[in-house]
Amino acid sequence: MTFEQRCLNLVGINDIESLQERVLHELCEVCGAQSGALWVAGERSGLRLRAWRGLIDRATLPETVDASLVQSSPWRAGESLLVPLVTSSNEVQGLVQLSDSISAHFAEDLMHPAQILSQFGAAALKTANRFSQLQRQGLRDRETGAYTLSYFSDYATKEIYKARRYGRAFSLLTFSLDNLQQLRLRLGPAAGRQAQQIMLRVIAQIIRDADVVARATDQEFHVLLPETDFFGGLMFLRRALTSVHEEPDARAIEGRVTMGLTGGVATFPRDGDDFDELLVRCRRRMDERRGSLHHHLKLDPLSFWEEIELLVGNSRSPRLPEAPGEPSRRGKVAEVLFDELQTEIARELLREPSARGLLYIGGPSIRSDLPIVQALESAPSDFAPRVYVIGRRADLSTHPVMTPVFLEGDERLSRNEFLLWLGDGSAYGLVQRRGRTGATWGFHTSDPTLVEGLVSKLQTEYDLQPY
Amino acid sequence: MAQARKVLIADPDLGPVRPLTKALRQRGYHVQYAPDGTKALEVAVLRHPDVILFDERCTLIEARNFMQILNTNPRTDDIPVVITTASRDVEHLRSFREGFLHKPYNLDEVLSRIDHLCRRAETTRELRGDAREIEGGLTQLPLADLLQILAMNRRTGKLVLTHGQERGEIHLANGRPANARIGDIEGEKALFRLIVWKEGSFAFAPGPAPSRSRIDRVMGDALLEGMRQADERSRLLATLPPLQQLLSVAPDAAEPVEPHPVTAEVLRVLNQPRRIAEILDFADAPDLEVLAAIWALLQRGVVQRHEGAATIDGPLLGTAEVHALRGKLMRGRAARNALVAKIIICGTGAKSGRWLLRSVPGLVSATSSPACLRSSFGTLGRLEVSDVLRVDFVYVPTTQAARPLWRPFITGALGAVVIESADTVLNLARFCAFEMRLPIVFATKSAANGANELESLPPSLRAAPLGAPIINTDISAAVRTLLLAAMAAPTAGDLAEAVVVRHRPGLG
Repeated sequence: MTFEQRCLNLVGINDIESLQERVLHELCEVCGAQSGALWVAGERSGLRLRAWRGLIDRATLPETVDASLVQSSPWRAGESLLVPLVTSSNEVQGLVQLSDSISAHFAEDLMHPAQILSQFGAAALKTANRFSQLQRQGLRDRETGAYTLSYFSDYATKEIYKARRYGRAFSLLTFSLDNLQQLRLRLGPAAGRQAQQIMLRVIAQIIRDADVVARATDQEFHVLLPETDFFGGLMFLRRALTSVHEEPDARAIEGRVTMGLTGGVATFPRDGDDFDELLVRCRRRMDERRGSLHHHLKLDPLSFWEEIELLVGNSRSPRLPEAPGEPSRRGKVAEVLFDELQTEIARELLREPSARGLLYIGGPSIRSDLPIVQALESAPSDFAPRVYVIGRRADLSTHPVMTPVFLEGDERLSRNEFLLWLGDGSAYGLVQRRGRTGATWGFHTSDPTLVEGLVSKLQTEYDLQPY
Repeated sequence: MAQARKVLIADPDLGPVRPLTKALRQRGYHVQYAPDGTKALEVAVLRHPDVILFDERCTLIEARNFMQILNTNPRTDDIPVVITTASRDVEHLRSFREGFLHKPYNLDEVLSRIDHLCRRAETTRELRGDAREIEGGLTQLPLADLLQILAMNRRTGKLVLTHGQERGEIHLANGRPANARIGDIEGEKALFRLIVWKEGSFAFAPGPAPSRSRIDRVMGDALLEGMRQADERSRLLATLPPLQQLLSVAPDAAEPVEPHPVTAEVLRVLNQPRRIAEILDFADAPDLEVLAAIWALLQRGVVQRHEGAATIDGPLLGTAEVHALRGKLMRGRAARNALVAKIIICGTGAKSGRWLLRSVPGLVSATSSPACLRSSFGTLGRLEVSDVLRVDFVYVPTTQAARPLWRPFITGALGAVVIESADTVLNLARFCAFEMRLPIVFATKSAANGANELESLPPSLRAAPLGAPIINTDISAAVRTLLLAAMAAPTAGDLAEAVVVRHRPGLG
């Protein structure tokens, strides 16, 4: 293919994804680069990473590049060659980083062809972006501005292909306004529309550029989070639900009729291999949330220790209601369970140390002979979960992968032991009290909503960082 | 004496800075303070702190610009910067590499975060060090990264890789792979086998380049091609019999006319019945091409499975099966060198734990006295299926009171082996099969030490989505069947075939 043909071919591509790959490919080819990365201007400020190839370690590439740092013609930075994609009217459309030259270094005579090719690339990107915007406008729902389901399905299918190709994960979230019908009946259709718009506005504020929101039905919305593991999806869900509840307009509606906002997460490939499977899993998780003891017992307004008191109760407390979600049990607890759980959870974390998670272990004192402390001594340097031990200072002050939080004189901690674990795909919580006679009484649950609620309240109680 | 760690705190509000400074100094840190962005930049450049806490409200230079300036300066681009904020709106801070700290913060947590960042920076500096000899573990520095570093620095010498009893060598000349050796295999074939090593240790010693290069690729090309071939190999191996399977030339097969050179080589090696693993070792062609040739020969009926093949004495899974299983397990996960999977034992540890430790070859007890032998909860032991794959045997208590433990501790399992038939055990098995959608193997008779006398699958486990074959020969067979099922997520028919192929003598 001649150089001229390469340039003209770029201008003929309308699909933005293909074009980005092609621009990068052509520049790599022409300049003999084994590796390359491409940042493209988007709707928000800065250039965003859109494509990469070759030997480059994705983790080392910045997600965004400041457009003001981009020069008007190709320049060298260390061993790399940086090629700006600038239109004839000096608009920066993108930046290409070329590295690992096949000829050991990028020769001076490559600068000119690289610049010409980049100008064609910039023009093509600008056209394709406009085309894509036009296309999207036709694919958006009029009432809410979210994408239509058909566009979303297409997008999800492409994402599944990409995730398979690059061995990556992505998360699908489903949000539902369960009480939309009731809300419309009691407050009128305008309030219903407002509830939908609030939800979408809040989600739009917290999503990244690459995330996609779509309206599936009147009351259901989907969000696709590329390159997001289950834990990331779960944290997004938590943030979205909290943000909606904190929104003043939402509070105003909630004051009259509950919106019944709930959500579920499913992650490719662990929860399913295609869109339908993921959706089924999402809906199932939503059902689990609806059936959570957290809602049945109306635990939202309680503080961390109030909730603990209520959940642990004692032998005379009324039975816990039978919730259809994940099970919870209250009663006598084997004395060794707390220790065994620490050991076993540590093993779980070490089996997949790069999977994110959150673990809080609280008790009377932070000792170096706690099973979790000993078990995580050998954790690798890339250990991803956050592990906190909370209690009075004893003989442990630092740990390679754990965060000790010293609380002196908190009576509630000297009476209770707790363990709250949000793992990659499940949750578990145990709260127990050791009796004077040796018997231990406690409560444990695998209800994710309940555990998330406890974690959130614990963070607030002791000023711990949110994930 | 080690140099004191330096922390720069840039914050216009002295309120939260004072207690933090005091706590840091008590721990031996050297603390620097800057009230605004310009001062912070000046300190960062001149003093090169180990960590910077930069408050969002700093004036003169805003957080994002501050980080960009640091990143463009080679002297400061490695300093981790944590943004601190009192604002409730933190979404825009999530894109910062080192994250953010929300005020008010817990002092212990902040100290711990600073400690971790300092440790990480120290480790990175150690790894970057331009030492003459480099040694380390592949779990810390993946082989692909190591080779790229050596290639970029145009190093010449020998990289020795060891894992357990296995040893391999890669010779480099000016950063290019010149030769590789594993066992009797040399050249590109050896290199492509070594490239996929994820565990073990490495040692690079500078030295003279080999007199003759046996590999004609640059490092990047070799890595890409090696990874591509590994992917293709895994795909192909999933369609082939186990590597320990004996193959022979079919007696009635017509002789191929002008076969491809690799096909001809495979046929030459098959002058007597050989295991697939042996064919791979003996043929000079790359593993991928040899496997492709074997596959074609099996398809055409030129080569057949050699009757009487028995694989019981071999390892639990062949190398190819291990790689296929590993490939499956790695999907969607962060690249990980060591892979430890788990299988759930549906039974009571007190009854069966000791028997399992005695009966599953290679199963090593987790501790001298695993807790699950008393409480039926926890990890019994670990089985080293191969260098790159280990499997933990985990008990989950079967009682209803322990029901909340089921999902958290079953999540992520490869599957479950049912070795008892009590109702509580079958309930757990049903949960694994239907709720968690795991493959199940129902071990009976001698495969369950007589603890399960049922001869057919209980109704509650029929129609298990990922199958529930019955194994009555031995527990190793049950474990192997489960691993195969986890590898392929197969249909019931595939599973039955896998069982029959391996255990035909026992079933007869």
